[in-house]
Amino acid sequence: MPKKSMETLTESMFYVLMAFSKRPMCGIEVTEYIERKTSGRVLMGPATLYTILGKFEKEKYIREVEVVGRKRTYCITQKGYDAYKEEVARLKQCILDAEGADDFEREETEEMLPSAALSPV
Amino acid sequence: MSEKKLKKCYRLPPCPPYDVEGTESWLSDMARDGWLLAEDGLFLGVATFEKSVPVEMTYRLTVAENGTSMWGENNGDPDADEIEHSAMYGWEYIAKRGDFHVYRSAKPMLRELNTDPEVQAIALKELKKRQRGSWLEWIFWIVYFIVRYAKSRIFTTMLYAKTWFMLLAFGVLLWFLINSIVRAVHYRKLRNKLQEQGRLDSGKNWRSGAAKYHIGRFTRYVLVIALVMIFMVNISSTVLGENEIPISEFSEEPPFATIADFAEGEYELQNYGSWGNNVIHWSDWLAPECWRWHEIAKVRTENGTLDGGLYIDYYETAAPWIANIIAKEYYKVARWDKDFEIFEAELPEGNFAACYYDEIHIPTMILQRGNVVINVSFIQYGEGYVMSFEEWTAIVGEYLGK
Repeated sequence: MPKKSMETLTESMFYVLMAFSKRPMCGIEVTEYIERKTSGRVLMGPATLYTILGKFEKEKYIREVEVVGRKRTYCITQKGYDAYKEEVARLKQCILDAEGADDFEREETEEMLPSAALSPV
Repeated sequence: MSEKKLKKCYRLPPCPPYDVEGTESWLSDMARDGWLLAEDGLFLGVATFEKSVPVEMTYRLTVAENGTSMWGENNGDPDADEIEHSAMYGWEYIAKRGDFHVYRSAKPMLRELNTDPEVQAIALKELKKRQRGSWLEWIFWIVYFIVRYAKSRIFTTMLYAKTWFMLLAFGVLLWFLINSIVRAVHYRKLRNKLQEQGRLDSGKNWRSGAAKYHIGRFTRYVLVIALVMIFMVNISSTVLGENEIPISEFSEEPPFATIADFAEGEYELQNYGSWGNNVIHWSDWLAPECWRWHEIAKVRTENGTLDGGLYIDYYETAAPWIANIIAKEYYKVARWDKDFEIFEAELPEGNFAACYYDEIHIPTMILQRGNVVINVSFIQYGEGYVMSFEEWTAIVGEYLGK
């Protein structure tokens, strides 16, 4: 079986791919996009961002399209877009699984969990 | 007005380059003492600091994806885009060390450089892969060297290069290898910490292992410098032929037969410029007596003139088994030559005896008896008296070990 390039995307990686799925961007634009999109919940540090960009470039999820001065612009590749769509589908399935979990299953686990974890949010 | 020169101080880092937490902690402590790391202030294992007021400064080491070699991309510095982006959040790129870029910030609360520990762990994993690549490169070159140059002549190479020197080189190589393993283990620990705790400990006590690290580093530097110097001296001595003594000026009696012993008559060395007629005599742990004898001479005998060149490698080893291994090594190497040709002849008695024509068709004999081994080739180009192979090898055998 061929080895998968990246088993699962981390949250930061997912948002970086999401940003590139909209349009080509440079690093700063990616950071700003993610901040805006998550209302400041996900703050991307520069070292994290550039590690992800390097990794994605190696994996051919993105490619450099323009260098203007210090600014490097990247766009998503088909491989990257497929990985993004796959991750979206996986996350959707997670949500569906969570919503479809019935009360019987919850009763079963109720005794095993601390009361705080079961209290309504 | 001329710019006032900043007061500087120089320090040896108290921890290895792969100790991310120790380095961050040490640099922050130096800043608290009023010493800020200078720009590009980590070079050749020495850190340069500039005097400032004591300040709370946070240092961070980030994995240099493309390495930090000054011959690499961006001279080993981060991409200009990355430097500018980091500066937006108050992080100033300051230097590089080992596999890392060093940033600092007086206001780190703006935003951390690394916000995703999983991504940080992935970067450390990439480093491990890169290291594995460099190990494979090392192994390739060592194997290549052995196959291409040493050709399995391990013992004879050790004798010629000196056993203690080879052991020293091997020790240094082993040290580097162990250091690489320690580094890989350390990176794994950092990755585990990132996965378990979500962050590294930038306040680590770097003082605890500092003395041990300094001693280790000093010893390694001394060994490497000594090794390089000895190697250079050896190479220059070999190239300049400083170890070679002309036979005409050599007063010691060799412990083996030479052309003068092959036949009675008027003996005369032949002059072929710097080629031939010299001897190298040295001692080694494995073989207290080592000789390399190149002689071109003629002997005017009653039966005519014996004219030839004699090439001898002779060893008296510390134990017979070493002599036996050396004899077999000579034979094995000779067999690899495409022009190697074995022939039948009656040879003197010994624990190991073999004869063959070498790559330029010179009849050669390898003879080991006890702790003595000789590899001798004798080419005769006179038209006068020509000795048979059995004749001259019998004389060599007669003299061996006497």
